[in-house]
Amino acid sequence: MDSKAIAMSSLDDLLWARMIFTLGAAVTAATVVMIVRGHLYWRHREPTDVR
Amino acid sequence: MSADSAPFLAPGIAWALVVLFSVLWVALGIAWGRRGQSDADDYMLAGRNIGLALSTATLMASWVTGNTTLLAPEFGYKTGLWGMFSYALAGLGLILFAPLASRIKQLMPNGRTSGDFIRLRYGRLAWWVFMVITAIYTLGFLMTQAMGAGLLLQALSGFDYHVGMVVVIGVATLYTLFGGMRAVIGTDFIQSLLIMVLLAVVAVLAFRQFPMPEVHASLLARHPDRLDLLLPAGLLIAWNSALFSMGEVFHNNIWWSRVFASRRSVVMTSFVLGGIAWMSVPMVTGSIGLVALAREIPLEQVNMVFPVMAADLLGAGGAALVFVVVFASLTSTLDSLLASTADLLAEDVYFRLLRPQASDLQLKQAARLMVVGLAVVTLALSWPRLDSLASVLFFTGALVASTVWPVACGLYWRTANRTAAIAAMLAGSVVGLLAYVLIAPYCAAVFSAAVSALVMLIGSRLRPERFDFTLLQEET
Repeated sequence: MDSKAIAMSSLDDLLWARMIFTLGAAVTAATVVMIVRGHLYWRHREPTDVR
Repeated sequence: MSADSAPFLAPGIAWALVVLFSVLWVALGIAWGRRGQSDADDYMLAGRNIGLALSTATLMASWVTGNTTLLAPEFGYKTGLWGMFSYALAGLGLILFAPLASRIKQLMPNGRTSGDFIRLRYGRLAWWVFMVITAIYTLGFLMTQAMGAGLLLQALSGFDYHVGMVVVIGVATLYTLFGGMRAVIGTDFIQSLLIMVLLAVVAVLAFRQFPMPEVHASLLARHPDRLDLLLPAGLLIAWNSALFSMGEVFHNNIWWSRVFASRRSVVMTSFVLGGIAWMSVPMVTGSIGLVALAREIPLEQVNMVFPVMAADLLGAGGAALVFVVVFASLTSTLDSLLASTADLLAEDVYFRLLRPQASDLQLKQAARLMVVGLAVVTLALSWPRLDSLASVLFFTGALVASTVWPVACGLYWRTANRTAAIAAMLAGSVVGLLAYVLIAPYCAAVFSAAVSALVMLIGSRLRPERFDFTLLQEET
């Protein structure tokens, strides 16, 4: 591989890594939001409240 | 260091330490086990009355594995700051489980296992899917700890691989068998104190000899990539640790049994404190990896960076400290795995599935038999030596991350749909495994959790259930 191809490959690696990083951050944030919302919703209610 | 090169600690001293701590754990475990009532509930859940200190300590000790003390420094050494931070992000699993733990305690005051919850919330089919996932994960976890025990004791002190493995599993099995959850929690308390104090000693000595500004300047000059927060390898690992750890904690009975064993008033705080306390361990050991890198210490085997640094700083005393930390880490994790998995099998398979008419004494005997059976199976599976433990562990990440949303939604949403939960676990596992094979082991948990979350969200929106949470309050 010439130097340009190597540079392109590295760029692809970084792009992939950033995409997976972004996906991971989004899933983690969504999970945190879901848990916090659930906790706040039930905090002052009866645990089996059906309303 | 290869297995054949000189060990860090003379075998005589290592044997003396093994005998000393083995006798201590077994004696204390048996003594604590005798304190409670002799029924199955007490054996499995230590009387459901554990306070804040014991609860926090057992969470932290169970989460500190041999990997935390040896793999985290390797991550720091190889991938720099991101390696260290990403390993520490695994503490999020415990911290985010804290609010769920509080809800579990309210909804299931008489509950015993995570399997109980899945069966009552989503039905028997979901329970089967869940049990397959938890069985694969638990066996993988038991195997990595058993093999880790053999490999680490061999590298640290020249023990034969099989001898080290048998000793660690044998000791953990003995006191778990006779003392039940009381023995596990009591020994975890001492083991967590040992781990924290000894790590603090090594860290303080390391940074007194090599202050942080010097370490930073050296890394900047020789290894600037290790300080780069855009390092591709670091970015790949980053969120995987967090989501993998959530999957491990949210589904596994180790953590559910701690919820049921703790007092309701302390359960949420103890998970938050346990998570924060645990995060300090990979941060400390990871930073030791950075110090070794800054000092250009030659390493024959990179996962031995922590013992090498400790021996370099403290001589034979340092090697003995590391040996004790590793021994405590391994036994505290194995005892928890054995006890809580035995409880899961005894309660969910023996009692709820096979013999609902079993007496309390028979249930307790079944739990004891399961402890011994699991120890034997672990020894048999771990007897042939595998070199790549990390790949076994990351493989299970693809499976367990798929349980995060079904478990959390099942606790909070009346609308969480049982078909969606089954589909979420299956689809998440399949996509996670594909990512493991096709992209990289490090990102399997991310893809698994992402797909599982989507399926759970869409399925529960399209076909909402109206679940009655009182159905979770099953009598024991």
